[in-house]
Amino acid sequence: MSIVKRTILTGTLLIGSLFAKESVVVKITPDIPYLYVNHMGQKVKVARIQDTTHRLTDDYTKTSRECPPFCIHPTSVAKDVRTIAEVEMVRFMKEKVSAGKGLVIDARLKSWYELETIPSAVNIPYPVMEKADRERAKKLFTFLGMEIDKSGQWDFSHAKELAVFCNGVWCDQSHRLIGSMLKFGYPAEKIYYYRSGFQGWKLLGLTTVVQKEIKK
Amino acid sequence: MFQKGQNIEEEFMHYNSDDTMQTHSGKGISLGTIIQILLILLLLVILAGAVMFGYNYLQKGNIQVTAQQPLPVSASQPVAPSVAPAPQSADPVATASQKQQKLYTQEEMQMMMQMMMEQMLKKRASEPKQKKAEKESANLVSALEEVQPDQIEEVGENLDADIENVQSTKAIKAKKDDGIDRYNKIVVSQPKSDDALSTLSKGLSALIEESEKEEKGDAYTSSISKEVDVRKGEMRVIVVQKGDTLSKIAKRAYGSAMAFDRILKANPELIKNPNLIRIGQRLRVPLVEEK
Repeated sequence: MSIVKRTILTGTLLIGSLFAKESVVVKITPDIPYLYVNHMGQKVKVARIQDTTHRLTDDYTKTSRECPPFCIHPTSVAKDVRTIAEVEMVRFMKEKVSAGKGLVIDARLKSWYELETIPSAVNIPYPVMEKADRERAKKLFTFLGMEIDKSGQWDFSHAKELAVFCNGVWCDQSHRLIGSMLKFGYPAEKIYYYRSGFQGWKLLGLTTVVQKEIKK
Repeated sequence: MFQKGQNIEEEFMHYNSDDTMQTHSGKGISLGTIIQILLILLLLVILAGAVMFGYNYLQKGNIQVTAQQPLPVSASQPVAPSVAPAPQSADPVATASQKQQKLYTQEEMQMMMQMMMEQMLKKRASEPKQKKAEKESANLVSALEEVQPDQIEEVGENLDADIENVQSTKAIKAKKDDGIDRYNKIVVSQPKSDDALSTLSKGLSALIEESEKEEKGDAYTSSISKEVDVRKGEMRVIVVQKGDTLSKIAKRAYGSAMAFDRILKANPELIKNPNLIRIGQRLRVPLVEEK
């Protein structure tokens, strides 16, 4: 009897797992059910919440903040900087970030970044760039793949493409980061502005990461 | 730049194939397991057939009995004892009693089924309901005793928001058992392996720390950093359900059972004895887990 039970149990489990393979009911796009990215050396599956009745209940449901300073932003952030949305963001992760040619940049303050962010994002808080002198900008840009040629000129030909985001359409932080990067000569055509930002990401139920520091 | 090409697809496939749990479950199955699965499927189909057949049979029985119910119930019981002791000419009575017996068996079946159903329903419903009702009423009484006029006003102000929150958390709770992750937050600890991205991130954060030491930000910066603090202070109210523990609530709210101390801090009345939470109790759960 127990053998029969066991067989039935394993059988249902096996069949269940077969169905489970097809159980992505909320895909990102018709051809991208989910994807994997690296965040802090850890593989993270980026997918959407699979409950079609789910609603945001707390995080990022706030509708109103004082304007100014938290005003609705226009589509375009600067000349030649392209504005992108979630699908382009996901493709950017798949094509550029995984190949080491691109970076997702969280322009928000460190406290926001640590609280919750988009998988694979690295943090450049906008004040760091705004307050930077030429020396610090040089350091920062070298991290982003800028090279210095023999004559001491900044060479951006191998600089990474950047997809910059902040909290969303009401948030000024990407705007300010991008502005100060352009000021120091980072090529505009290598910068993308994800305007919906973190609120848009959350609204679609996409995976987020929380960074935990292990205290010694 | 974001055009689809073969490279992308290949990359994507590559990514997928990395994850053996998710994608290889179909590919690696041997012939033996396939046969096993087929056998199991067959077994399930047979079982389902049997269940259907049994169900139909019982349905038919029910219909017949209910149609004839009034007669045998009223007639058979007084008649049966008087008939039984008196030995009478065989044929018509015998056939009649046989018929009656048949009716009895059907009747009995119905009775038994009713009994079983009732028992099952009782077992399922009454036990927890009673307990729940008792506990809830006890909670209510204690809550009423505890509430003071000042507190009533306070509750009244936030009532609408509370009700909304309570409903939403209840909904989350009710559906939580299906295994779907509704937070979709992944906790990432500090990098163990040193891939290019985490090295870069580390380098950047060192640079950031260096620059943060130097000066304070402008008005916008201070207001945007205030919002994080505001978020850290924001709470929602949840109602403790049966089977809840603080760590279970913490797991639901923050994805980590270890974060229960945050809830503990927000509910000072619990600090004396964190194990004592009651069904129906309202707890303040901070939106954001403190570091």
